[in-house]
Formats: sequence, structure tokens, C-alpha cells
Amino acid sequence: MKPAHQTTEQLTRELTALRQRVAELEAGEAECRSPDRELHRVSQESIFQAIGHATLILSPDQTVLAANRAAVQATGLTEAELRGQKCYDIFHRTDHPPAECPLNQMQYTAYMVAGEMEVGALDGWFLVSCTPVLDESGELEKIIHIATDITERKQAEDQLRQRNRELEALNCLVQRVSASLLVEQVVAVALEEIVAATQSDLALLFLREGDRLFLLGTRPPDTPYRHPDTPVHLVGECLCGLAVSGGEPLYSNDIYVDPRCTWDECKKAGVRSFAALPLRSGDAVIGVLGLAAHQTSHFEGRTAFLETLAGGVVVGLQSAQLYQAVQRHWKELSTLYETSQALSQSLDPGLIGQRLIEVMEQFLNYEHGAVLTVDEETQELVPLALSDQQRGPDFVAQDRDYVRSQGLRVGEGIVGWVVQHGQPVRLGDVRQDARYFALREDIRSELCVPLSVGHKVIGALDVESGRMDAYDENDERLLTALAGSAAVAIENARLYAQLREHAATLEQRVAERTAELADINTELDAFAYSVSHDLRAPLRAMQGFAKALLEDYAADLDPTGQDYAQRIVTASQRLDTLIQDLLAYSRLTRAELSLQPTSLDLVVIESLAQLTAAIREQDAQVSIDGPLPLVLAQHTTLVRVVVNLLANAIKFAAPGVQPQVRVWAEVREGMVRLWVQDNGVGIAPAHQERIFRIFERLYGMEEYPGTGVGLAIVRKGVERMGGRVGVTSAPGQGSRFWVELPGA
Amino acid sequence: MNTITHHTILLVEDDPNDVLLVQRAFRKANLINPIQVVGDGEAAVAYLAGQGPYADRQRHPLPVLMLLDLKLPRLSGHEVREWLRQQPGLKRLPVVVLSSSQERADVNRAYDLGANSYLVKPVALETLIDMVKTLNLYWMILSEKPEVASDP
Repeated sequence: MKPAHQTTEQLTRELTALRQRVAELEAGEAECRSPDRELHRVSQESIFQAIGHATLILSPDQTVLAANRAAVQATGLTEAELRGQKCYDIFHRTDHPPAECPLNQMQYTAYMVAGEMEVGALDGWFLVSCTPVLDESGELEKIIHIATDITERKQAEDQLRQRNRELEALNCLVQRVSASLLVEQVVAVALEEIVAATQSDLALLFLREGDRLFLLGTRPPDTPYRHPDTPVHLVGECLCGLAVSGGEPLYSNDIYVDPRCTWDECKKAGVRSFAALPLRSGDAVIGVLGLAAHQTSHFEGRTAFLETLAGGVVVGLQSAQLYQAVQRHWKELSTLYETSQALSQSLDPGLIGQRLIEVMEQFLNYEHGAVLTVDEETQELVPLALSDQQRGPDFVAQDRDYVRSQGLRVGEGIVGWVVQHGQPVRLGDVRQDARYFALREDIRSELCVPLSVGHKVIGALDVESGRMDAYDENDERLLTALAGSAAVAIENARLYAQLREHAATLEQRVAERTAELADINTELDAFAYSVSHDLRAPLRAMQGFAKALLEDYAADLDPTGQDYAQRIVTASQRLDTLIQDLLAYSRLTRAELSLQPTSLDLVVIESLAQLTAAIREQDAQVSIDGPLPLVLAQHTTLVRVVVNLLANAIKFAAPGVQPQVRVWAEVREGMVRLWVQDNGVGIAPAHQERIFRIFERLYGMEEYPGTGVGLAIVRKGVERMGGRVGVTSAPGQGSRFWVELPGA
Repeated sequence: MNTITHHTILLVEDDPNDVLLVQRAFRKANLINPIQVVGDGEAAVAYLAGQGPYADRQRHPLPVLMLLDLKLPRLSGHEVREWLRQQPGLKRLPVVVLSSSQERADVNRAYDLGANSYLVKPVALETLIDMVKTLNLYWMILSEKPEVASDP
């Protein structure tokens, strides 16, 4: 500090020396040009007067030596009155200068000092700058004191600070309000923040429902307004109601003298200032925020802030309401989903009805709930399930009987109307509706939706309440959605019941038919047994004795007699073959076949062995393209099939042609096809299907003897083993028969 | 014991035509075995037990082979065979079933009850003669005969 002081002193001295030198020079000049000097003096005076700020020339003891016009104007005193006064006496009305005044420092400095201070006498803030003027010896001679009015700037700064505080409060409100998703909590938090930010004594939040305002919350929480008996406002009533109907904020600086304030509760509570801020959402006013203070004009000049706060409340409230709505919808949806799941899994109409009643009870307030279905024959509405089960089964039974005893029919009463028209009905007061059919005296509201499947109405869901206007669009929407899945479930259950009844009937018929068939089978067995025994016994005798006649008495018979006897033998042989074929066919039809991997090679060899006589007799050539694959079949049956095919191939040769038979197999897609090709007479396409039927013959006994059973045995045997048969042939070009069986 | 009694065959057959044809086949096959014929199941049991008209074993000797039809009056062939199994002295008597039936049920039941062979009556006369010849060769000449005796 010391060197600085020295420097200052040095500078002061140099400055003083310089000023002295200037003064000397000026004096010299003045003496030379005196009119110029006078001019200079006048110029200095005019500059002093022209300074726009209050400017004083003070003595070192702060006595006013001179004051300019601005100072005279600011103080309201004349310059003469000002001169000789103490500066602090004039401006601060004190006997000493205020501590913060820059004048206090003039004793110690050669430079200008400035500071801001509030000047009570001038009712404002001033920037005070003081400049010391030193004499030739460097002593303080006088002080130039300029006071610049900065009141406006100060006020602007204050407003800015206030604005910041408000912004902070708003920010805090929005943050706290957004942190909660429960409407009650949002209301409590918002009111708490708003009361703190606005220094209100009371805050009220009303929500609008129709033309009424319901009190949602207050701050402090336990004000008398919270009392359940507190009357709600009507829209257009008192300041709050008027703010809602007008959609604009309303302020009262003193409700005692404001005719708009008609609510005595506020006056009783000592409220003077009131602000009613409508809560706007888009074009709609959803409620109103009321703020009250015990002092008058409390809210004056803060309208923008208050209205912004109201906006913050709307945002918080709406997000909470939205959240709750979403929650409710979600719960409804998940319940609906679970319900429709459960419903679709149930096939018992009673259980479905019971479940519906439970869900309706969960979501809708009702005194009576019912699931009714239409009896298609009588057109009566039959209760499938009724509420009141909590009152005991007796009551339910009574209630059901009661509903039944009323004989509700389609077209009668509300439910009857709904069923007839397939449209829902929602009534706030059933007594106003001519359709209402008074089952119970205590009912006021009713909501009834149809149970529809396609265009068919199969019943209705009905809820009734003793309250007026108990149900809204949401309830109707929910019940309609429930009815959608309920109708399908009930219809399904009905169809299922029908189906089950039908199935039971069918089952019984199948059982009866099976028993009949079993009887027939038994008879058939007995028949076959009888045929094989009793039919063949006389046949044996006919053939045996005719033969014995030919052998033992040939000498006694002429050629005609012998021919007759021979005809008996031949005829009985043919009959025996027929009987044997029929028995074989009948056995094939009835026998149980167990399929096993079977060698086609072995089957063909065994078949040829059985046909040795025929082959020799016809001089037939049979070639086998072996080795043949395995098939899934029953050996004996397959042998019987192949024997018949080969026998035919050999038999149906054209006269004088040597039968040539070729046998081969091919495998395709897991199936084995065995081919038997001959060079015989062939079969016209028209007959190719017919020949597989039993007793079907294309030729007379003279040409090609046979029973007409062989190919029937082939087809029956193959089909019983899960295979197919077929033929490709043309007359005169031989035939190619095939049987197809699963490969092994 | 004379050879005749040792060669007696009991034919149980209710159809007189079949009886005649079998007897003729035996003749044609040049077989001299004496053939005793009974017409129903009860008679067969009585014969084997040596009861009633069949008590005289000189006139009605125990057979060495029984040809048994299945479809018989009074007692069926199966019932006769079943009875036979209960007789300690007779149960080893060889029984050849001679039936018109080719039904699996009949065939299986016959073997289940202890039939030694099952033959289906052929329609052709030559076949019957062949069958009789084979029967004789197999049962009367080749096969060792078991001891058979009437039960007391």
C-alpha cells in the first residue's frame, strides 16, 4: 500500500503543479484577451446548468455551494434554498451522511468515487458520483456531486428478480406435479406449491362436471371447505363459477365490496383478495383454481404469473387423469381379455353366466345385475345368471323365480326392447321411459346391452341401480365389449350342448348298428358254417354216387346214360368250386388280418406251385422278373390273391394261343406294385371296373368256366391289406393287372 | 388179441351217404380193416365206454383209430373228443377228424381238444380213395399205436 500512496502523492503533486502552471498561463492569457476570458466563464456556467442530472458543488464539509437546474427540479427547492444546506440534510434528512455515501471518501482520494444508493427524499434510487477538486496546495477545495436517477433500472432489476422467483416456483410446481400420477397427490402438491409461491392464505381447486363444480382439494387441507356438506358452486355462480363460464381469470382486490362474490364462506374465513383462475384445456374449461389472501389487493400485478401457475396445474392434473384413465382402461381391457379367455374356455352356460355377473359386479355399480337369454321356442327371457348370490342361494332362487314369474318376453320392458331391436339402452331415470316395466320399485338407472351373434340377438346383459344417472358412456362401452365375448361364449356353449346331445344320439345309433352288425356277422358265420357243411354234404353224395355209377356200373349204362352221369359229376364239381370260392371270399371279408413283411418271391413261387396242373394243361409260359421286394401283407391272403391273378392270366388265352405271363414289381413312393401281364383276350375299358365285382363274368361257361368270384377275392384281399388293384387292357391286346401294397 | 380187433376203425358219421362213400373208398383201396359205424355222438361215447348195445367187445371191439365227424346229433364231435380226454384208459386213442368244415375255428378247436389230424371231406371220389389209402398207410402201418383200454 505504501508505494501506491507515494505514487498517489507524487501524482497529486505533479497534477497540482500542472494545474498551477495552467492557471498561470490562463492568467497570462486573460490579461492579454479579457473578452475571451469572460466568454470562457459564461461557457462553464452554461455547461453546469445543462447537465441533465442533479449536480451540486459542495464544500469539503458537504455544504452546498451551488446547484444546477436539474437539482432544483429534483428537490423542489430553489438554488438559494439549497445553498448553505448540508447535503445529507437535504437528501437523507439525517444529521450525518449515510455510511454508503461516496462523499465520505472525498477526504482520502483525488479521484472520482461513485455508488448506488436509495435517496428517501427523492423517492428513488440514484447513482451518486463525487469528484474532488483540489486547491493549488493539493487540499480538498470543493466536491462536484452528481446524482443520476436510476430508479427505473432498479425497478426493472427487481421485476427481473421477481420473475426469476416466479419461474423457479413454476418450475418447482411442474416438477413436483409431474412426479406424481395420482390425482389426489397432484392436487395436494400443486396447491401446496401455489400457496407458497403466491403467499396466499387459502387455495381451492374445483373440477367441473356438467354445470357443477366439485371441490377436489384445498390448501391448507383441513379448511372448513373440505366438509362434505360444503355446497358446490354452479357454473356462473360467485367468482369461481363466473371464471369457468367466462373462461377468463377474475380478480377481486376486496371481496367485501365486490358484488360478484356471493359465497359467504370466504368472507367468514377473513378472505379479502381473491383470484379465480380457470383451468383451460384446449377450448374447454375443466375447472377453476381459487386463491385467497387475508390482505387486500394481494394478487394485483401478478396475473400473468398466477395464470401460468394455473396452466401448470392443468398439465399435472391432465397427465394424472390420463394416467388414471389409462390405468382403468388397461384394467378393463385385461379383465375383458381374461374374461373372454375364461369364457371361451368354458362350455357350461351356467358358469359363463356366473363369471359375467362377477365381472359386471367388479366394474359397474348395480343393485341388480342379470344375464338373460332368449328361449327360442317361447320367446321368453330366461335368466342365465343373476346377481345377489352374496345374499344366498335361496334369494337367488327366489329372484330367479320372481323374474321368471313376471314372464318377461321379447319386446316387453327395457330388456325385451333391447333384445328385439339389438340396440343398447341407457337410462338415467327409468321412470321417464315408457318402455320400463316396473319389476322393482327401487330402480332409477338401467343399462342394458344386447348379446348378439352376427345378426341374431340371443339375450342381454342388464344392470340396474337405485341411483339416478348411475351409468355413463364408459360403462356402456365396457358392457358392450363384455357382451361381445359373452355372446360368442354362450352361443358356443349352446352349440356344444346341442353337439353333445347329437353326438350322444349318434353314439347310441352307432352302438345299435354295431350290435346289429355283430348279430348279422354271427348269422353270417353260422350261414357260412352251414353252407360249408350242409350244402356240401349232399353235393358230395351227388358227385360221389354219380362217379360210383360211372365206375361200378359203366357196363350197364348206354353212352347217353353215361353222359348224364358225367354231367351230374361236372355240375356238382362246378357247384363245389363256387361254394369254396364263396367261402373263401366270405372268410376274407371277416377274418382279422395281421400284416407282416412278406416276400413277394415266396408268394409267387407258392402260387405257381398251386397252379402247376393248370400251367401244364394250358402249356403256359410264366416268367418272373425277380428278385421281387418285400411287402406289408398277410402271406396266405396274398397267395390267394396272386393265385387268382395268375390263374386268370393263364385261363383267358385266345383259342390256339400259348398263354404267356410275365410277372414283375416296381417300387414307387414307398408302395410296391406287382404286375401280372398276359397275352390273353383282353378286357374292354367298359368292363374294367365291373370285373372286380363279385359274380361278374364276361364269358359263358363253355368259353371260360369260372365262378365270377376270383377277381372279387383279389380286390377284397388287397383292400383288406391296405392296398389297391387295377388293370390296363384292351380287347385283343392282353391285360396288365396290378396290385399295390405298402412296401416293408 | 386177434388181428381183427387190432385193426378196427370206428367211424362216427351221421350222414348215410358219407358212410357209404367212405366204406366204398375203403373197398376201392383194398383195405380190409373192419369198420364200425355209429351215427351220433352219444353212440360214439357208448361204444367207446362199452356200454348198452356195445358192451360185447367181441362184436364191438375197441378201435385203434376213430374217424370223427364234427357235426353230429346229440353230442358234437368236439364234445366226444372232450369226453375222450377225460378217460384215463381211452385218452390216447388216435382221433382223425373228418369234416366238411374248413372253418379255422373248427380246425383250431379240434386240435385244441387233442385231435391227431384234421381232414376235410373231399368232393371228388378219387380224392376220397387217395385219402383213405394215406390214412391207412400212416395210422395203421407207419404209426406206433398207443395202449388203449376200456375203463373199468
